[in-house]
Amino acid sequence: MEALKADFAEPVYRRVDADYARQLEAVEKKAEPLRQQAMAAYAGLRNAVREIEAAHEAVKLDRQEIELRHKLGEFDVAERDRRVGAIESALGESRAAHERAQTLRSRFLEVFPDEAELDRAAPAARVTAPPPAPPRPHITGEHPRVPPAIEPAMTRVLPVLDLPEPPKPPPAAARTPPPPSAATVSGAASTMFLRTARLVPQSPEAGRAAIPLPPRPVTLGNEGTAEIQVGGPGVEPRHAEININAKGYTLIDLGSKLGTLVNAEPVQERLLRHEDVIQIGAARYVFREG
Amino acid sequence: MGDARVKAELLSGVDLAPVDALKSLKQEADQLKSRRASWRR
Repeated sequence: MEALKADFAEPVYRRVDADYARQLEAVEKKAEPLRQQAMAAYAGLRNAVREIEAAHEAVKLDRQEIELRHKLGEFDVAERDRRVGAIESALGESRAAHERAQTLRSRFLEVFPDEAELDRAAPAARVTAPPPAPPRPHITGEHPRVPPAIEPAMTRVLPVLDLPEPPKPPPAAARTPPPPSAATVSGAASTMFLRTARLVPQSPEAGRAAIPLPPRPVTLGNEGTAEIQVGGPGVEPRHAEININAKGYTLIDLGSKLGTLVNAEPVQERLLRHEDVIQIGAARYVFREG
Repeated sequence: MGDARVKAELLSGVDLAPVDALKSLKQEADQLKSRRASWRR
């Protein structure tokens, strides 16, 4: 380069240098919106990783439960091995998913200086809290069958189940604006606003897709008339109900033999709170608002 | 347990297009910076 300098006048170098500076500025302008898009995509990746990790932890607990039940003499080695085999398959899946997530993460870090910058910039609204640890194994009573690693979803939402309307911004003249993500229940005398809520499956018996809760009572069970169909053993035709009132969503056990658990505790009636874990038979759901 | 597979499917929704475009721009910027630096030594 020094040799080149000797061959060209200083103004030429300055001109080329200024041109490079302009080009760098143009590149920077092009990059900025792409960075924003990448950060949003990274927020999605981060959420997916959290959910994969939570699922992995849940499966590890399922494995421990099998060992415990085996040691308690519920079933022989062959049955234990069969059940563990299904669990190992699921663990393998979540490990593979985690590896895939790490590969994706490394792609992001190729173009960002560090993860802290990606974390700082990720839109807060898209970040959900990690799910709580699943409830401890239910040890008494009839025990859930451990299904194969991949099993078709057994829970379905019948067509009659209305999905709550997405929240709409209140008119400027509204006297009391509803909170964000609110479902509206209208009555003759009053109107109440509730946060929308959904049941997020945590086990194969609970199905795969999140179930939005409508702004009216719904029954959970394995009977055709139950609006939320719950699969697996230990579930009764009309096992439980979720009611809605001004306080929120209340889970009511309908006198089932094996009971309904919230956060691993049997309940008769419980006002549900965000991230509560509901267990009906072998089906587990997380109750999420908003 | 099929849940893990469902979660894994979330990864397929991660959009890498902006990352790839940024990578290309980064290479372009690095090249420009390198050329500028070479005569400033």
